[in-house]
Amino acid sequence: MKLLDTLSSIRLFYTCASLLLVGCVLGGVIPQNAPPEKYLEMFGHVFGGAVMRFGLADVFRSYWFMGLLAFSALNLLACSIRRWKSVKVRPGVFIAHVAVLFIFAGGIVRGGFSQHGFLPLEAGTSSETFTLNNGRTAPLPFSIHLRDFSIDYWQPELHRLHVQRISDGLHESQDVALDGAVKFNPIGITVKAVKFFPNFIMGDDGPASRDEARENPALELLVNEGGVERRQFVFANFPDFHQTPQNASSRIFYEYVPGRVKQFNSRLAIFENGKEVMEKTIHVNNPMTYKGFRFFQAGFDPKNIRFSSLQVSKDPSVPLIYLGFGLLLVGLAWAFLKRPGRV
Amino acid sequence: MSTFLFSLVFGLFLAAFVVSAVGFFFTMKWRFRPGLAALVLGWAALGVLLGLRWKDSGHLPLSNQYESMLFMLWAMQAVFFYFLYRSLDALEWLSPWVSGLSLVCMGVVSLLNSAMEPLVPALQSNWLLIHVTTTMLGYAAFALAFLGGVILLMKNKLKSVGEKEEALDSLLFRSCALGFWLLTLGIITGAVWANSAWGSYWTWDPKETWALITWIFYAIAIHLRRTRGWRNTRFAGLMIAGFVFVVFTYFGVNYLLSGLHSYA
Repeated sequence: MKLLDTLSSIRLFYTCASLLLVGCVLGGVIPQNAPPEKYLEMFGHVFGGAVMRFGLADVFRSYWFMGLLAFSALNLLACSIRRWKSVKVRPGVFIAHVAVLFIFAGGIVRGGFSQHGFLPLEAGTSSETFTLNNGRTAPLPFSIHLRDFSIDYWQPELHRLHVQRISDGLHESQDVALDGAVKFNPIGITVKAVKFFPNFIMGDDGPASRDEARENPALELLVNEGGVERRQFVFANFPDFHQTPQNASSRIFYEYVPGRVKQFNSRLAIFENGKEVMEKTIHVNNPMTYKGFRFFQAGFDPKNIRFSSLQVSKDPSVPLIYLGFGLLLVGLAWAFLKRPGRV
Repeated sequence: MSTFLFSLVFGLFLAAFVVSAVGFFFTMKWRFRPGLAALVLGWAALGVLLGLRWKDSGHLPLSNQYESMLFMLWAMQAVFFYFLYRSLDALEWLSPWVSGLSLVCMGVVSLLNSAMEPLVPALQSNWLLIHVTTTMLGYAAFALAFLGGVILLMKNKLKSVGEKEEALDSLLFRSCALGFWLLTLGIITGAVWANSAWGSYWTWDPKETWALITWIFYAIAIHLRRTRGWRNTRFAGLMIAGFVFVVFTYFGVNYLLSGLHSYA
């Protein structure tokens, strides 16, 4: 009984809550899970070393923080047992405290039984495993196949050409479509975009693109000036490297305008024993669930837009946590809003 | 139109501040009413401004800090009007203070990027409405508690507070309780949204962590009031300190720490 008194004391609550507050502030201010050299660079040798030694580089998974959470839960449990009769007098307060206990319990279930990881898939390929956040590989009880990956845009990427007449500085700008030609009437030239190089390099066989990443965008142009045609490369990142011939009457500058992504979509299929059992197109905020595993659209690889980046999650704590959330809202509303009246 | 409305709102809040501050020099019963009327008009104009942005952008005007702060300001005034209505006008002398804080907020908003951008994929969800509105309403209630706290701590210098101290202390607690409930709802809806968008309801993202810090602080403050009897100036001090956490969670995290809420 004496132990219960100690554990349920309000003084212990203030101690635990204040220490939790301090722990969260430390974890909120100090960058978490950064490489050791970053802490040495940020805080110097002495304090940077202390950050790593005292678990401040990963506060929320450290033993001392877990211990603090466990102690807070014990305090709350003891309080709820000690004051269970208050359920009749102040039901809202009692329910709110029990709700937080459910959330703590959900946290324990999550820590012990949940799986969170990621799965990069290329269109047309399948996988029966995924990589956990700790780097290990986990099996899936089925096979997941990426049929197709697509990106929708609010506004697609644009290739904008700025042409300037050398003699008087007259300037005109137009967007050019790939394989399309645009006429710059006042200046008197026609420009056709022949090929787009998202990440331009000079390969063994001439100009090429390293990958799909828009890191060094370049255009190969066919320029017709007074009936004379010439080929020319223009580079968005290097406007002065333009290969304009000495006798040309105008200069061309290339501006690459990135597209605004609206949504990215993965068409997924689940196979079990060689048979397709499910197909769904997922996008951000619209996952697919099968046998407790959920697949979320997380992103894509800008270097290879056939790759879809999926997040995988299996978390049995969710019902417990949501129960805690619901009870907490009801309990607090009951506790605070039960007596309407004058302020 | 938006520029005109923004200037109109600013002008009305300025008028509300000046006219209601002048009310302190008079003794008649209705001396704060003209300023309060200007404040209500400014609030209505701000509502129209937000509504127009909603119509023009095609999504809720809560997608960046410019929009969310305008909404928070609108919500703070709505909470004030609610408490004013419930107090049978006993709090109308607070209108110069609310107008002053509104002016400061409008000044800060004018420094933010007002460009309307299409929604990034993560924000294309119905959860945006409930998560951001409840969180901003919570911050708005805490802002009112902060304002009340400042006035209560200055009571020795303000003759007008005097006998209204009890009503002000009650306003502090009601605002705090309302803010706490709304912040709880904001955190919970954010967690449910995160679970449906990323598969994890809690990732210790800096915004989540600082929202939790704010929540723990106000939980301690409420316990101190309920179990240790911290009222009036002591509770006012807590409300001022708590608002420091609110401001850091809302502003500081975005500029000083990177995370999933970098667009917020």
